[in-house]
Amino acid sequence: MDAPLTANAMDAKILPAAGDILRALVVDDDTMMADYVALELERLGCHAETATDFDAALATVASGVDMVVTDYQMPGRDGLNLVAAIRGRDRADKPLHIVMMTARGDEHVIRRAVDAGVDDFLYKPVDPLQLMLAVASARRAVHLHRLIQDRNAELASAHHTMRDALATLQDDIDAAASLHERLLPRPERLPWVRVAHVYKPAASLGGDSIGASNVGNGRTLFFVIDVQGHGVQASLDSFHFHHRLKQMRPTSPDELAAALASLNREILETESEIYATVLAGLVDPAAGEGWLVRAGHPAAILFDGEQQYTVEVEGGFPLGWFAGSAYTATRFAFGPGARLALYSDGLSDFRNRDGRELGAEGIGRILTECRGKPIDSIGRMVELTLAPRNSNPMLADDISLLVIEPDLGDRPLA
Amino acid sequence: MSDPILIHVEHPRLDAAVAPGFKDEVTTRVEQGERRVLLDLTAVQFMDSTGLGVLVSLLKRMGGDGRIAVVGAGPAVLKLLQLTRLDTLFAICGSEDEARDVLRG
Repeated sequence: MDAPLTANAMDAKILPAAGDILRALVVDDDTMMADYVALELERLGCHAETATDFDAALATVASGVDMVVTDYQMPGRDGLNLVAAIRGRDRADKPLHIVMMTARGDEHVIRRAVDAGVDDFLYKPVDPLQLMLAVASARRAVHLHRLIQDRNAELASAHHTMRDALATLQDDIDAAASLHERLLPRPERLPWVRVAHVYKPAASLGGDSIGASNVGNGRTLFFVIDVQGHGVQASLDSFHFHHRLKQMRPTSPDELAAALASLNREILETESEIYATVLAGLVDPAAGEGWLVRAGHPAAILFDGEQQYTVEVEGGFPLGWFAGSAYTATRFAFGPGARLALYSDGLSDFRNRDGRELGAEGIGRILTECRGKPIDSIGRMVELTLAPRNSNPMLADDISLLVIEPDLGDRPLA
Repeated sequence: MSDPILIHVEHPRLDAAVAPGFKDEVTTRVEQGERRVLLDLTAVQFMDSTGLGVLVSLLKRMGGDGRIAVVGAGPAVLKLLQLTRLDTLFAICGSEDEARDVLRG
């Protein structure tokens, strides 16, 4: 062999890449033999060291090699002992290819050697061609191992990045959800009415929104909005629609109807396919009356202190469907003892364990059962009804309920 | 006048999970300028707001002179159509023959 083997075109595939030179250790108590094999390995493009006994070999392995070529027969602890010791302290993330040199006729050793962790065998006297094949296979194994290691490192780092991104995203979603929660009716800001509500988005962010605000002159604006879909988009839209309705601050039935018509136009102008159903109302407890405007939303249920009934409101299309949709306000009596419940279809469509739908009737039943009890008891009873849902995380829809009743305190009736 | 196109909706649940596919399906069918659609909803047991949105976008896609007749609407679907007043835009029919008559008229 005149030219070094590594220069052969045949070996192109096993050529070491830069920084990919195999570090080899040759272990043989016969120093001549060790030096000879080491020299051959160097010619094959390896960086080779030698050791003549067990301890020296282990020390070199510990300093980091890719390949060990060890003799089987050595005085004291032999090649099998060495291989067992090396494999015993092997680090899974470090590739180490072990080749054992045996004499022909030592075949009975081979099985034990394979069990101990030997990858390849060389028969003595060592033939350069055989050695070249052993190196090629070592190089391939080490190369593959390094490749997998790199990929693993990349994956681990990508996983890390994703996990961090996900955590940030979750923080954002939580922040958005808490913004949404803050929109919920605040009793202390509603001097003329008492309210109770149940708000349970299907995911952390829902498309439902419940609002109630004092618009002056003893009147309270209130509404339930249900934006099509769930998640971030629906939630942002419902947040926006909520604010727009409050911003428009309708104080009369006509203004309320006009507010829904404008919101309808505004949604259509966005040219998205988003739409929302809304049930909005105004109450004037001192006057003992209220008005409702309905845009594709389930009707409200009124409990007048004696019985419950649906407040029939003709209603118009959901907001965002058609230009020029008209809405009109319908009057209802809102005297002392009256309770009005607005809800999203997520609540009326809710099915209990037996698969029975709660329905508008079920909501009405709860109103009746809570007669004479504080308004909060309605919310608690609805929560109780929904309780089986907690064991089933696959919630179909956002759930909203708003109950409102007059609170005149010491104020005289008009 | 040619026959209206008949769309059998085969999804028992017309919801957010199937709506995009269903939308592509019906859009392709009305894209050739068809203005009259007969929707058979017999197989649909449940429809949510997203499914409903597809029906509305179908109607809008057909423009002002588009007409949709519905047959086989079950109680849940009917309730939804009434709630959202779509029952005033769609002809809710008891049979396919009736729907064809309505669409012809």
